[in-house]
Amino acid sequence: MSRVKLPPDETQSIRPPDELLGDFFKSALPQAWPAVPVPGATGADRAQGTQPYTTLIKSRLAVAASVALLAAASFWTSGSFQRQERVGPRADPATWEAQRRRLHQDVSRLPRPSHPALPSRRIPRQPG
Amino acid sequence: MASSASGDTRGRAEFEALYQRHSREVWALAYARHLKSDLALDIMQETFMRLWRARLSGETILNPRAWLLRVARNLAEDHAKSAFSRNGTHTPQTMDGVPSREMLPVERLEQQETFAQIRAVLEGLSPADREILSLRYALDYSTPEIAEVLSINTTAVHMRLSRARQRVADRLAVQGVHQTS
Repeated sequence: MSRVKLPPDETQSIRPPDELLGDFFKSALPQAWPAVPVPGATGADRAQGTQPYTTLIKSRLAVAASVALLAAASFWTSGSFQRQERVGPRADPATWEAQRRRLHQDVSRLPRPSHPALPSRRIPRQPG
Repeated sequence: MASSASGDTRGRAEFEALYQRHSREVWALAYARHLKSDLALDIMQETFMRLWRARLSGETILNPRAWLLRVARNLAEDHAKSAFSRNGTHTPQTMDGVPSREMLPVERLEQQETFAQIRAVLEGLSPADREILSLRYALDYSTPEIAEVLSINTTAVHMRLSRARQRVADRLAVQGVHQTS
């Protein structure tokens, strides 16, 4: 048996590895072992077993009701708002072209301004 | 309907029997992988939940013990690859090595120090060696029982056990924890 050199006060508390390993692993082992990790397996009622299925049906019904409500709301509100035509290059091209032509015609109907004849800007020749 | 209920009750009783028989073995293998008691407990419970779901889905499991141990090993391995394992929030000292309440503070401190050294030594061993040590020292399994759990022969268990113990003893001796034999 070979002894490791230790200070005198520590050699008195040396312990065999089996004992140390036993203490180490047993200290890690939970003292209160958990119950069976299954819903209803410890004598609970069987109704808990059907709970997920009931919840699934309820959630699907809620989704269906929400979709129906959304569709009804869109149907009722579809005619409630006044439609405004968009004006500008992003509007319908045909509408935009008709408006442009109408504006052009309106402008052409306006009376032409009558200005007095402007004097000629030709520079008279210098004699000589 | 009555036969279905009786079959359900019988299946539940079988499941509870499996839990009583093998849950500590599952915990021991999970603990051997990470040396974390709480994590091993979580893995053990998740393993049995999966067994329960597999039975509910009608899956045929011929060898429940082997199935449980395989799933537990896979879960422990998956956890090793997960981000939580890399960035865990608890130190090993927080998670494990909780001493008895009757101990004096000085004794507790000494034990924690010794356990930290043992932990460091164990982390240097292979997971296979730690599995053997865990079954041997946590559950007091004999060599044939360990061989049965790990599906290896008793000679291999004896060799690996003595080799692992020797490694632990040597390293602890270097650290001045105990005497070598």
